[in-house]
Amino acid sequence: MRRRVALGLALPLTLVALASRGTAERPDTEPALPTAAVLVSSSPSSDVFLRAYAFEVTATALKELGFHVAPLQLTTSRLTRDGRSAEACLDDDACLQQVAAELGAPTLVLVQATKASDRWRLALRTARVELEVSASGPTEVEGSVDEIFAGVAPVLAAEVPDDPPCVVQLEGPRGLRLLVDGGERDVAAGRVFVAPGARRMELVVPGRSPWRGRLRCEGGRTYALEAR
Amino acid sequence: MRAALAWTVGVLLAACSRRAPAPARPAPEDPPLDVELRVVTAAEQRNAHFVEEAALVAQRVEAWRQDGHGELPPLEASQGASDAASWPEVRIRNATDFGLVVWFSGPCPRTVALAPRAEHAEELCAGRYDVVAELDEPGFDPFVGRGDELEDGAAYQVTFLLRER
Repeated sequence: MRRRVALGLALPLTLVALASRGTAERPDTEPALPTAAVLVSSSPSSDVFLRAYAFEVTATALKELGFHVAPLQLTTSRLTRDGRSAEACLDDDACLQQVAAELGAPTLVLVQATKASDRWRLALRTARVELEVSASGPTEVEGSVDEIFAGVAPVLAAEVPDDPPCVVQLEGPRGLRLLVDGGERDVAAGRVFVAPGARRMELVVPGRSPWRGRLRCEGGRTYALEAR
Repeated sequence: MRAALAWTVGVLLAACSRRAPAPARPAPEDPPLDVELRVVTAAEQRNAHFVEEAALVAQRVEAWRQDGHGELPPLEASQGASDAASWPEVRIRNATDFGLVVWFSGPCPRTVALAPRAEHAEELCAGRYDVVAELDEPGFDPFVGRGDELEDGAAYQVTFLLRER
């Protein structure tokens, strides 16, 4: 039987110095931050808090490293699309590539979270998605919730790859093809990841003269490439 | 004979010269693509994710609203906010011995997880939010709010604690 409990108590604060933090910290006209996604599978999979807390501590550490992190529900919906299990996707590079492209997040942190009584264990893998997925081996963080919070940040600081790829968001007529440095890229997800450096870009649309240009990818930026 | 041959060659050369291709004219070309390449801003990045996140969180909140749930009292703003242009801040205190997940369903949707006895401050953009709180303990109903208007420059606090009835 469910217990009825009270209460959420709302109290006014008389004086709060609002720190610049979180979503409000960057002026709207600043370039987008490099994007990362935190993909969590948990045991038991029904444990909402386990998943949310594992996401929270990982996302907080990534934000400290200068990333924008795709939000939890959106990430979960992509990870478990069509009823697949999160675990199945975390072990499948093609699935990871698809999720990364849909979220526009070439930096991934894959988290397997388990809990036994008050002890937690997070197995963390960092991955970079470009033409393919390159992931690190798992590093485990174990302990109480407080120890988990303290332990995740140094792992990510050491293991998240530098020089994140850029994201190119594509918009254009049907049949649009994109070549980067002469190699054709899969544009089905509407986003492609481009390695840092100077890149030759070519857009091809049937019945139109191709467009050729250059892109200097730096800082994991996101670019909109719109063809009409 | 020589004259006839010369005449023939001359006629052929003249014919060939007449049939020579005209000076190369550009083939009719396909119309060019009109392409814009630009850097995406932080605001565009945030909004792109928030739109979908907001819909997903709203779905969950609506599902909770349909099921059994407890009521959250409304959030109250402080009177003496220091900067009227600041985004609203919500300070959450988890005064229980269980993990707590708090959902803000609104224009800047957010899911916050707090460890037992932990505190967290969250900045959200202004607007109307449905707030839901769920304890990490089987048998507890979630708490669902009735919609709170968060205003720029205001600060809010909510403390979650348990009182057995």
